[in-house]
Amino acid sequence: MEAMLKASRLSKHFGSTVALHELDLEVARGEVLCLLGANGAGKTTTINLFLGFLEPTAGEATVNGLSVSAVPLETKAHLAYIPEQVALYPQLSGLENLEFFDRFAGGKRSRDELIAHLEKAGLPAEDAQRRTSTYSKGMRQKVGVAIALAKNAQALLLDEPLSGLDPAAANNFCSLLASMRDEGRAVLMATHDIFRAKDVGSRIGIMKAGRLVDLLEASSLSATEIEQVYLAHMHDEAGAPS
Amino acid sequence: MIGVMISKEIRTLARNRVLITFTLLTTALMFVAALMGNARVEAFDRERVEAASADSEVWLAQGERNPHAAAHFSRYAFKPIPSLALFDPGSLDFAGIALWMEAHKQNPAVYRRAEDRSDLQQFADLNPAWILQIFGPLIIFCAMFAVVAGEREDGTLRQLLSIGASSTSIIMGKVIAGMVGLLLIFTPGLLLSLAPVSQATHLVPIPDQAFRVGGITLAYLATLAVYVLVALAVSSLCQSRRSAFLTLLVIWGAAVIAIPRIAGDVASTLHPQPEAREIRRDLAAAAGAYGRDAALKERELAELLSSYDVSSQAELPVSYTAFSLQRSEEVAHPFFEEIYDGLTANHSSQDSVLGWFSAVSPTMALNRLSAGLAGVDRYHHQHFVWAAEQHRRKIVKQMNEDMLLHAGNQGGRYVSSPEFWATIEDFPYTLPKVSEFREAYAAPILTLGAQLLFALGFAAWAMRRSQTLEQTR
Repeated sequence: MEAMLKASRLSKHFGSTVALHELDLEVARGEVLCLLGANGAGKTTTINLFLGFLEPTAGEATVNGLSVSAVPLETKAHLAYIPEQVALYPQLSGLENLEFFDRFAGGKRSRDELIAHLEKAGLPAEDAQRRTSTYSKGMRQKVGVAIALAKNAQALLLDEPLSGLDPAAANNFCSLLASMRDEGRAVLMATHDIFRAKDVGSRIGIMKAGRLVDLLEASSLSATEIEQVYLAHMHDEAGAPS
Repeated sequence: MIGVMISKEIRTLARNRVLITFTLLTTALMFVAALMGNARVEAFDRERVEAASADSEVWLAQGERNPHAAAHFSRYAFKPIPSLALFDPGSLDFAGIALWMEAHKQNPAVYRRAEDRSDLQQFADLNPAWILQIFGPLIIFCAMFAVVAGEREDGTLRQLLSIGASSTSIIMGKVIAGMVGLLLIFTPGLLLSLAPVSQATHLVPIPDQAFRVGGITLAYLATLAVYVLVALAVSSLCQSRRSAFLTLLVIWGAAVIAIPRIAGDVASTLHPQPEAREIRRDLAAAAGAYGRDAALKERELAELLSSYDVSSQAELPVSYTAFSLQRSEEVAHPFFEEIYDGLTANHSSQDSVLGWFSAVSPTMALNRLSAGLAGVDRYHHQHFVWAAEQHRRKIVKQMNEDMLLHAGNQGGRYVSSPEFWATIEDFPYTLPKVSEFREAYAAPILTLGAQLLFALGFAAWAMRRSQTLEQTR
């Protein structure tokens, strides 16, 4: 079966700076691939290339077999993007935000259906009627997830979605992610949280200086072992292995 | 998708009270301005009507009098105040509304209301056109500075792009929403300030008033649409609300305050108006042209004597004094026309400088169109001045002819009967149709049209560019 998300020798240079170097990566349906790495390792660049926000210097990113560079709008139809800070219109309620993004993406779901998506994402119906200017970060993430659910996106691109969430909210979010994975969605998540990555990920990629330096099966290692591998790579980067 | 964006934009404006605040503010300002303008124009018109009535009474009650003495005393031509002056008084306070139709002289219009007021009064002279021209762009900028910059700052623009929204639908949605917002904010005030125009039965309706009202509405909406598009473009190019607001504030200061002022100074420096005493001197010289040309007078006297087949003035069956007075008028006419044509040409040169500056200030093009459509600009004033001059020539000739035919050799001792004064017609003046000046208004119309197209292109380019920047940041 063809991968939902696929990067083939994908590179991005900003002048002389190599942000991403010949990345080869596949994420299949029902799989969560977590990318770990220090700031500037190339995680966000990878996500931006899949979103078509950046033009690759070389190589290709495909979504469901479609080239992002060739047909950016068509590939976005399969994608949902949840950044660290889900951006919503503060004057609109959670439901109105969801309705707006759904309509703008070409959807025509009824309010009841949208409320069901919000509830599935963990946002109670009464909270959905409140303006999002009053929402916590966790509630905003839930609206972000509801947007992905309403869009029926088959691939999710998550850029450090757990950052800043309290443990309970992070736990809820990971449960949601697991259920979306189980529904057959492909998830590519950039994160700094090794333990959550182990918890929710199918595979874990370690990135360093724009390169994918390791790709681990999450089930075959403990969180501690993953941490050791990760730190070893980071020490290599610092040039100080003992 | 465009409809979804429009609906979201309007809802957002309404929810954060921008729409209602600015609609109320604009409507209230224009209502106050309409009331003040109405009171001011009415008072001015009342004074005009009283003066015209007094002029007529004094004229008819002058009793037996020498017609040439009466021609020097003469009458005033009063410029009717068009009802649209309630909306835009234009040059009404500055151009003068009474013209003394004196024998031998083509006088400039006098009774300029601006001369009787303090600087403070002039500053406080609110009128709906002024509110729209000065505050309209500012209100638009205040309402729209965050329309894209805010979305960028909040991250919603990136969110929008990530769901596959096309640039075209975002741009068109924002542009149309901006225009809808413009209509919602300004329409109540515009209607409120134009409504008294149709009710002002005491003022003079212009023959093509409906056309002019339509033109004014279109001109204001087109100009404000230019500012809406500029706000969108600047908001798209700026990284934050703050920088967008400050940039728009600078643009407002330049386009609405500084450039028109600078343009006026440059125009009057490049093409200075001759001083009033120079004009008076030239007019006096023109009036005395016939008297100074002894050879012409001698030749014409000889021709007159020959035409009546007599050998001396005493034998003439007509008054030679009246003949020479009328000839003095007629000889002066081309000189007067030359003087006033020179002034008009100078005004046109100034207008052309202002026209160049108006390329970067839509408010200047609007100002010209608005006053023109309201019937209170230079072209309408010149139309009145020329009509008054034609009437002056007619009535002075009528009085000279009375003397010519009836004075015999009495000369200055001849007096006309009191009934004669009633045969001198009041100044009959009909305000012209705007189509008579179509050439004069072609330039501001074309300028405004070009600015609208440019602003549309600028906004589309800026939004596309901002989306590219957003994607690559």
